[in-house]
Amino acid sequence: MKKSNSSKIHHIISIIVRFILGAIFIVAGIPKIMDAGSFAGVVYNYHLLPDMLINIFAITLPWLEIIIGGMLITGIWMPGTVILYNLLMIAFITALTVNTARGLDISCGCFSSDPGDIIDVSTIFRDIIMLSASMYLAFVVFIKKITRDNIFCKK
Amino acid sequence: MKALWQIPTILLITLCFALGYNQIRANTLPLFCPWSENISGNTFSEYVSTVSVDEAAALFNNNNVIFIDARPESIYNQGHIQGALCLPWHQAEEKCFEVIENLPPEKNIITYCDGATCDLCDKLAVFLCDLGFEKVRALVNGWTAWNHNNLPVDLPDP
Repeated sequence: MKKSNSSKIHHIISIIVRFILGAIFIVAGIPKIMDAGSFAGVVYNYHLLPDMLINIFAITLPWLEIIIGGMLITGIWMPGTVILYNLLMIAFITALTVNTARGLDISCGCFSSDPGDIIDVSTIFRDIIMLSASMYLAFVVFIKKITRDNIFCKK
Repeated sequence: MKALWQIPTILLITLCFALGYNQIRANTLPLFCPWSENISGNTFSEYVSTVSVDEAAALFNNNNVIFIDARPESIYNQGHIQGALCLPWHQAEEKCFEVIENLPPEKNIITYCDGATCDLCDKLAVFLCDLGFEKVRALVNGWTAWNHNNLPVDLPDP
């Protein structure tokens, strides 16, 4: 009985977390698709990728955010989606930390291509909170095995 | 292990959407572009000329220039070119008169921000030109370039 209640609580919390994390990725991706040229400039400023990969990365990443965000909200292919979400968050945190340590006051490019959106410690802290939430989702999906919460699947 | 086939499938779907949309959009981005070769001030406005860090340093040493920092005030407070004024691009209209009211129009002005593609200094330079300043130039990648040359800066007290 206790186990069933615990699963129900995890199920409800994971749905809320999925919606929040999914919505954040969708909101973050749309402005970057609209202004891919400026976003490529933001990616260049990070000085982490070889020149030839900057444009293809700037074209692809926002779509990856939107598709992963949409899959998280709808609950489709949760194992793959959750792994990709965690990997992306780890990559974002690494990139932000490296450039903060380098002392570069560059634009984050997190939610737009606005050059005034400068990275700082609070940006890293925000991403760590998101990573914690996505790691919780991984726990729910891979340890608790609660994956049949696809909104298109009836139990 | 469903994830093993789901991850490559998601990446493939993403690639199809991304490349497909890039092809049909009005301003298609080239897939591969040698960025470092393209960054030499040519992303900047045709109305504003850029200045090299050596020339900017010479003007600074002759006390013949005013630097204006186009970055946000919080970043300016973390360190800026010695004696630079703070006029964030995003607050330029509301703050310009208190910052530049005592500057003679014929004074050499150099705007700067940070990052090779940061265009805040360019936008601010255009704005200052529109206000009637005659000798406004932009220092590309200003803060980083200035520091790499070990030129004087103002830093906050520890």
